[in-house]
Amino acid sequence: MNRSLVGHSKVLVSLLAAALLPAVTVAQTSAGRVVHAAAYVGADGKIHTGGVVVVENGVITQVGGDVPSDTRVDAYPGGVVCPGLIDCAASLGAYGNLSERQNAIQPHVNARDAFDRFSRQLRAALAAGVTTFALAPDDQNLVGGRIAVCQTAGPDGKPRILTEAGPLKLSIAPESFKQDREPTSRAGAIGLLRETIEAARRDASEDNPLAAFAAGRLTGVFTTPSGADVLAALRLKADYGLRLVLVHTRDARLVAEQTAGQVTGVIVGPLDLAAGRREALAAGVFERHAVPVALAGGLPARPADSLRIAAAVAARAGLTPEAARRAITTVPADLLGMGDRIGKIQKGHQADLVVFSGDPLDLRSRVLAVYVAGQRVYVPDLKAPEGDQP
Amino acid sequence: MIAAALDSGRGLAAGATGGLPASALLVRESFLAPTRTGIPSRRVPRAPCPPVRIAVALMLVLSAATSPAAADDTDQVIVLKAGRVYTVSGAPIDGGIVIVRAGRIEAVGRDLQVPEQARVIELADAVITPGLIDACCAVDFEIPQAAFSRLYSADEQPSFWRTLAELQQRRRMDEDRAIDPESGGPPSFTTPEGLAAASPPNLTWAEHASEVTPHRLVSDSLNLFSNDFARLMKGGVTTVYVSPDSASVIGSRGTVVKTAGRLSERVVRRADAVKATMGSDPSRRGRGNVLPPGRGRSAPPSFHTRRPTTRMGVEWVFRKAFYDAQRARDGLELHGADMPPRQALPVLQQVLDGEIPLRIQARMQHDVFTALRLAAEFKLKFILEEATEAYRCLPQLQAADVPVVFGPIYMAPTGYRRYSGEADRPRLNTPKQLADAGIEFALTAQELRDEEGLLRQGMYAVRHGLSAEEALRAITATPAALLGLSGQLGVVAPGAAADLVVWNTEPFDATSRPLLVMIDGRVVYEE
Repeated sequence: MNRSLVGHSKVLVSLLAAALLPAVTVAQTSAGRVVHAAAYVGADGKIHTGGVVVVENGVITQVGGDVPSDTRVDAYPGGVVCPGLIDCAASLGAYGNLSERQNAIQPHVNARDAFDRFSRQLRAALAAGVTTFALAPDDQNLVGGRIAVCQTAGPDGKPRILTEAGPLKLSIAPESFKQDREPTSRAGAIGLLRETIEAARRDASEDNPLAAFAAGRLTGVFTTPSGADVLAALRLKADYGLRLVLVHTRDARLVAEQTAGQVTGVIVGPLDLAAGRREALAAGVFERHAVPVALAGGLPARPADSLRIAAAVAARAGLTPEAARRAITTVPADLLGMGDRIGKIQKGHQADLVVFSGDPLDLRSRVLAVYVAGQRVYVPDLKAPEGDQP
Repeated sequence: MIAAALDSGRGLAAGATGGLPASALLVRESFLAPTRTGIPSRRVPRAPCPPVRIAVALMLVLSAATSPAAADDTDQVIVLKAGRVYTVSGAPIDGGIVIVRAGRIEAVGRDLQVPEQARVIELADAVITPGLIDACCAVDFEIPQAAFSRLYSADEQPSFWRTLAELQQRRRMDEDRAIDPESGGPPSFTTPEGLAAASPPNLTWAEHASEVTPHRLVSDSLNLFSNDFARLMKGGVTTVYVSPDSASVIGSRGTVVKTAGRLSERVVRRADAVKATMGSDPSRRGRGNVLPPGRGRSAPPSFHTRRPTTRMGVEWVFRKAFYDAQRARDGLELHGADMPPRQALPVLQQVLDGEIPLRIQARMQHDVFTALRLAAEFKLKFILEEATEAYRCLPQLQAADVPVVFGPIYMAPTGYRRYSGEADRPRLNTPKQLADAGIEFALTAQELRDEEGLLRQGMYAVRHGLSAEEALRAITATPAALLGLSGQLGVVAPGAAADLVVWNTEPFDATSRPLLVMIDGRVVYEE
């Protein structure tokens, strides 16, 4: 990333932005528009100059090149256009617990039922550039239920559910062992999962998410906190041909080699600035073994900016900057099965965009605007201190 | 001998392997290669079927390409020259030479032709023995003693969790420093309480959802990265049978693993014997619910409430489980209380048929008698574990031809054994008495390490009358035989796996220490 962008005078930016942008945050027009900044984050994670993104009917129709003459232009001199950030392990807007405590196997639970559209957390996340997040059942059950992919704002500015048929959430975290129901141990947890998968293979009914998971048609997002858990998950994968995304940070250096080529990707994090050495190193280790890495923001338990913080911390510990940018945009979209629709600034993709005042990895960069499906849904009051935003 | 019967029962007979060379026998159960069914076969696999072979080959390619450990490729011939070699399978050889090729012992003897381009390790006066084998080892997830502490409800004390939290904290920081010596990195949890709150609520090997869980596998719980394995290996132990804890009447199935080496080759057998326990260990966890008011902590209702609370209950649950397994096989309907889980029935039936070995832990004389009585009732062959009072049941063990995994040896019980009240009459010369009675036995250190570890168990046995030769066999060849791996492990003989330990002096000397440990032809430790 070129440093001159980062060093750009914030005063100038804010003056220009205040002068050029209308105060209204939602413009209800389906006509095309151009987001014109200095640079954009490409699908490869690199920052490319020529930040022209043309949007029509909510979809990106042109990236780079010249600014079309007859279209409305939102200009952000010095800005960097980035795909809307995606937190693939969040509980934003969750109303109540994200686990059902009766039984450890809950394939029919759907996280969309816990989604509270009126939660104030959503606006804070939007202001930090997070447009999409996976509302996931928590780690208390072996099979927690379906993940719902939600947006902090739709094109009308109101939070919405993008799809309620997201991946299946699984866990063999110690939290899933209870003293008042099966399983009470790892051996019991793996054994019970195995029996569940085998039973699901015999039941091929359409509406059974477990059957789809057992047949390798539905991705499972699998929380595996220790290296031993990862090996156990990989063994299940080898036995049953599952499609897995692992949630793992701790023992990356021990298991990265075995993980390579076996899983769709790994979700690392959340990481904050005080992250331990090996947590910080994890993402880079997976990248070196060619395992796609997404970073978790852990919203809303963490600060709204935690996705970018995680990316910066991972980059500081050896993740390449390109991979760090992809880890909070492209890769999480892919892992959630939405990679052909969101997560990239590319022709034909939904125009979910965040304009930063510089490199998104630079924690000094501020959000200048957020677009969802081509509509500008958030513009900060740049004169106010950031803490007072939305 | 039962070991021979187990051997053939395990599918290791020549018929099962066809005309394959002996080296094909010990194909490891790779933890990633697909098993045909979900519940893996208990047998040592025959020559791998094509998909397995491809998976194994792929994995080898992958690990060879990326692992830094791949540098010491096993194709290299290693020659060890030592002052003395204890082959265990035959007489000791002074000035012996051991030739290791492709992970196996190619030759052992006095005047052997040293192959060209071999790496020759001159060991002067050192002593070579086979790698030690613990046939009843307790390895815990994170902290070795934690699982056993739970047996006497130590986890109900906040101090237990504080200690555990501190140990885990230290371990984490050690590992961080191992990655980066400069890293003083901030701890992930700032207070032990914070870590305790995030700690696993259950650290035991055994599944407690039922009293009868032979369908569960310890190998699923196994943390191959546990520091405990390195500690065992540095004590000369190269192979362990990891046993489930004794908290269930019929517990999970143990697993056989190597203590070091390449990850994909460490698991020798995923699912081994079913473990049953006599005595008070399985009944103790339920007591909180049955003590009269004022005599102990009142526990919230849980499924532990229905666990047996007496020896009679333990015996009943054992009998009912096998009784139900027989009825189910005869197509009869099951009825009554304490029915074993449905998934347990096929496993119990295989135990009845002698296809899966059975181990029974019993410490006191009357518990051993109970085990013998139950075994006779269901015509079960079994291996007796721990057997503190074995010296009081010698004729009965002789008559029933029951092998024993004896140990640990101690003067006075400590830890959970003291609380069990079952270990108050140990005798130090029990191994000698077992040997004199002609009972096949192996020694085990269970959860003990270092100066109380497996080698020192042999030393104590020698101090109290056992011959050094018999003691060495009890920690090498005999445990291998009890695991059905006779001739493949626990001996220095052509065709056996190259698991060797080089000691600075006679191993049962108090001054002995390992100078070098080799597993599958790879030097995994060198002083």
